[in-house]
Amino acid sequence: MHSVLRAYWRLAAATVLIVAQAAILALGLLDPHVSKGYRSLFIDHTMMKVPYEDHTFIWPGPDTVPETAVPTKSS
Amino acid sequence: MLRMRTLALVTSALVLARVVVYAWIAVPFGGLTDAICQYDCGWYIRLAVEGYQSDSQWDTLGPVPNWAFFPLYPLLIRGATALTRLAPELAGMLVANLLFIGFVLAGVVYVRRTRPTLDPMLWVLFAVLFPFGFTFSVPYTESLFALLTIGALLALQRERLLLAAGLTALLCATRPTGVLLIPVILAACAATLWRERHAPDRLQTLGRVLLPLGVAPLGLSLFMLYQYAVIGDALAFNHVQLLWGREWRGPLYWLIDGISAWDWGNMLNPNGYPSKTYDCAWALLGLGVAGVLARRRRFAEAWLLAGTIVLPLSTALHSLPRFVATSPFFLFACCTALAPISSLRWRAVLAGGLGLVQGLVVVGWYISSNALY
Repeated sequence: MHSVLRAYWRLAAATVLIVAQAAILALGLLDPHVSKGYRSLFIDHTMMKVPYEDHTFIWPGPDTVPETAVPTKSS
Repeated sequence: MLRMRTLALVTSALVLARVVVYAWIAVPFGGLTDAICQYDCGWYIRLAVEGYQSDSQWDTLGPVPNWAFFPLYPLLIRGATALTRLAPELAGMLVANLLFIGFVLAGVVYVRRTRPTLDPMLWVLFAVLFPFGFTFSVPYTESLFALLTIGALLALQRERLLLAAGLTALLCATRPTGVLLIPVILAACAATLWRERHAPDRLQTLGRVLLPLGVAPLGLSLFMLYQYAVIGDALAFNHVQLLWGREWRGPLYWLIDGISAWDWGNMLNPNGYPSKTYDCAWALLGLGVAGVLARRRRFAEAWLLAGTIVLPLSTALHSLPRFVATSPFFLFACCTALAPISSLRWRAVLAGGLGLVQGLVVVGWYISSNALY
């Protein structure tokens, strides 16, 4: 009985963890604001440029940041 | 056979001795704390002290945001600083060296299981004296990454799937390449499932196999969730790579770029651009060693070494010498190649030569040589 309960507990925990992490991954890959869909991860490197160009991150440093930097979701 | 306690004492003494030598070499370079903290060290220290901030605050973080760096090692520095009251740079070094001792000793156990003919003392000497081995004493993630990798593989060998998955979760919170261990966990789980396919209690087997799969990626998932909350982008660590000069063009593009540059001369100019061809040569060497490991049917090792190279090589060439030279599997392979040297006199000559070259490499590090970043 004890081992059956432990098996159910493990299965439930595994399901919760896998579903929650799939949701987190989807949050990163499918969020149109920051990543333009799944293609941003690896396939089309030019897509990766879009969000951070919008955010005006310009090399080489703080002195070059315009005052009109686009705010992010969190701000 | 040497006992583990003896090897632990020898390893600790050697690591302590080499830190003393590093400190002695550092005297003309402003002292150990200043000299040892080069390149990414500053980012880890700043992360340990200040943490991550959103991009609206990025101008306080340095030339680019610090989101590319994973949190586990900075958290350890933060903990060590709180415990010891040392400066963060020294606390970072203390953590790195303790983890390095752990890695060398875990390596002894691993070598005894996977390469029974290899003398563990040769492994200890090689790990401490290998020219690039100084990186394990620098406030970088190398020693943490190596220890967790070997720990996870040892746990897998003992069929402790959940422990291996827990260590993989920590690995995923240390560096992006930590995810390479997830397929290894997956393969081990699949093998267990196949082996126990006729077992009467299938529910129990399924629970035992699925839970590690849920645990292994946790380090990365939690980091992504945190970045989403703080920055607004769960993949900020990946997207920000562009600002570090990393652009996804695939490994072949960068290999051709490195070979066609043929810029060995840049290595002689410490203030110039790093040599792409030098970085490329390390990548090719590492891939060659991975091929040898695969041929000897050490598939997990070959996968982890090749993945550690191909993943960063897909975006740029820089840092590849460090990634290759501090991979545990590259070190094991090099040490195995030296195993035929059995005479004490030749081993002493080898140890002296390696130690001397490591000393020169450390001087290169202290002057921020572009071959070592």
